[in-house]
Amino acid sequence: MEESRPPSVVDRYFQKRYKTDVQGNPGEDQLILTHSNRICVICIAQSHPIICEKKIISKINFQGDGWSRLENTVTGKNKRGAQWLERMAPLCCVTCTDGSVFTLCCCVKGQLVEINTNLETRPSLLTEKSSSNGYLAVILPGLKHFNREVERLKSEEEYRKVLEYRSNKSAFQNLETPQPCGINITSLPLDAVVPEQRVTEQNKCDLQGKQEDNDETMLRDGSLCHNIKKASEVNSL
Amino acid sequence: MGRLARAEQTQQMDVFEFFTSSLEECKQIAATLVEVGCCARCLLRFLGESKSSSYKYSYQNVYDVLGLERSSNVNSVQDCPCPSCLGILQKYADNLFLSKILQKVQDDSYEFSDYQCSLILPVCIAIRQRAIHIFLKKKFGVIYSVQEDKLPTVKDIWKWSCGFKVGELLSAQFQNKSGFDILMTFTYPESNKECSFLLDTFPDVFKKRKQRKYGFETFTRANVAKALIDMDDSKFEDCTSCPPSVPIAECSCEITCTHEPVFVAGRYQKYSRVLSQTPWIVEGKRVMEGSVEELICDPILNTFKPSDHRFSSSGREDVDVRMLGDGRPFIVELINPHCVIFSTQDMSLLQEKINSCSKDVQVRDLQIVSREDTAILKDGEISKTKCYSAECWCERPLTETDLVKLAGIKDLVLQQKTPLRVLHRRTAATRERLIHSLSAKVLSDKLFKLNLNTQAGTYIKEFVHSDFGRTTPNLGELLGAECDIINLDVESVDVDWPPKINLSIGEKNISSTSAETINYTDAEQNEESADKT
Ligand SMILES: [Zn+2]
Repeated sequence: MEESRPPSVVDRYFQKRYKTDVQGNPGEDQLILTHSNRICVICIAQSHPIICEKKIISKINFQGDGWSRLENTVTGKNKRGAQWLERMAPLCCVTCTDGSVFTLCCCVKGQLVEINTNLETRPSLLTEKSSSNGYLAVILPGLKHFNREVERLKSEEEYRKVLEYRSNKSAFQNLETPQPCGINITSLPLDAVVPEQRVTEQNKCDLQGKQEDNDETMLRDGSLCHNIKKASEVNSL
Repeated sequence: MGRLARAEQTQQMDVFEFFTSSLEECKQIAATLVEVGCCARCLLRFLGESKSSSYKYSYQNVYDVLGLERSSNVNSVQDCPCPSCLGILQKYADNLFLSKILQKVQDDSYEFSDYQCSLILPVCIAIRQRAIHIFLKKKFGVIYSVQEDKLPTVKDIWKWSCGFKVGELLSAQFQNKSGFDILMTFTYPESNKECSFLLDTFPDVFKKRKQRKYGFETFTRANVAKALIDMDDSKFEDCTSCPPSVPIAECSCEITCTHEPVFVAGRYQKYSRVLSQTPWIVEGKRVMEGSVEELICDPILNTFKPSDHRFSSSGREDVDVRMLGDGRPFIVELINPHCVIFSTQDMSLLQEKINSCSKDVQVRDLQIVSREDTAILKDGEISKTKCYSAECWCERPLTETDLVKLAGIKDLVLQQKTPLRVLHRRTAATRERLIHSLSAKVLSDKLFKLNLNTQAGTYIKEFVHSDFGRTTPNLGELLGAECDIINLDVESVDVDWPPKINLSIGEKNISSTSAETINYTDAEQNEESADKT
């Protein structure tokens, strides 16, 4: 008798949520595993170019210009000393053998509890076991923020629809030049701390609901305004 | 009733052991004490009597022996309490008050076989005692050169006078030390006022207590006693009157009963995978009905009727983990129990009662233990080993080589990061844990039973599924294939405590109980295999 695989650790303990087009970069999707205890495990999604274009990773670096996730000391039950990261704070830079560089982000705001240092020695974990041993980091959102942070992310169903929309779209456009993936992210501002004004703006967006989530992301990244429309369309699907 | 002849007086003086054996001197001292308003027991007290028997029934004999009028408070202070004991050895030592104690104990419905009593006295009693002592010293010289602490205390005298009488009323033996305590708190409204001169004399000592605004807290028995030692007689006399003033108010008394905690220990087995060990309540809402703690404690609480309780055990298992084998040692601390007299027989009946309430939790070796013994439980938590059996899955069938490899593992050192499932409330750390031994048995194609003997504190689930590679080495690494855990049982918690009890309630009972358990285990195993397919 063939036994099917029992529900995995992820199935049993976590809910899968997604952030698509992170930092407004098309296709750069991330997976966030959320536990009912508020622990968020930040991963890369299967649809991310690194995985779907079968890239080979040469280096994963947990620090960049003005930020370092390696310098994070966490003590006690209250995780004192942990870096407080905003949603778009970079977690690591992934360099691939084809020269492309991707920045993977935090996606939920909260305390940085740990980073997966195994990735430094075995970068291939990121593609081979993207939603388990290849996790990027563990974030603990505040007690008051957790639900809101999770709500802002896409559900599996919403994520599936985004992927469907994309594949339909590319079917229409398949004669045009495909959009480049792997923008050289290091040229973008990567401040972990969002200025006060922007936080207020975010709060406004929170009140207005999820539809604005994408707009907010786009606005913050300025240059990618043409994507706003695309994102809204996605949401209205 | 009448006065005794001098010869008789001299003879009866032998009954007492006073500071002076001179009848004449005793008469003078007694007359002086009567004049300031002292009660009969305080007469004996300041005369130096330290034989408890003198204070019981015949304490008023002192008047006859010393040729005084019985209860004649010469200077019209008849209605005022004694300036030495503030009435605690008068009104509060008479039968009317003792019957109030009985009433209180009955109202609180306590059960006990012996008792102790404690008294909290107004702080100013120490000042009044000092004042009388100085007064006597000045008047009678060398006789009162004895240290003040040679005088029997008001507390002692109350106990000598009333202890056995209360015992008779309660049908319980009076003991100096007993689990059941009757506390009498005496309050004298003028106490602070009478102490207030100390504040001016020792501003440093009493200022620390934020001075007068803290009222009651300014003067404690300890700091007043210390201040009195540091103050010589003449200074004391300057500050307050010797002898002390006649009390203008009466003491009030509050009676409270408490029983010292009783500890009930035992072992529990848990057969459910949907039962939390302690009540699972999040933000005031119950996440899961019932708990091991409640199933065990409810019948115990109904029996011992405590004011409060604390449940603790040697470690704990997750909601979805069963506790099998001999069970897990636990203790229930019963705070202020109202019923405590239970025989071994009673305890085994209580155990049966717990076991009849639920099939999910069964207890054994239920017994009353001492407070000292409870430390063993906590020690065992860190030092002991635990045995588990886990039903596991592997992405490929296990081979004979795999089984041999696992069986060969001895004292494997694990590096375990705090599991993700508890990381929100525990310190993030990497801890070293030992797996003493391992063995596996194939159940079906990809399922196998893993038996583990580990150091206490090892996270078994994480060792099997690796927790995203956060426990290393893990079973998957050892086998070179992905593994997961389906369910987990604790097979033994190696703590040799509490002592095992052989049920002695008759062969018949034992066999019926164990038969039930066996049937139940069968049912459980059937369910389990149903889960597997
Ligand atoms: Zn008295």
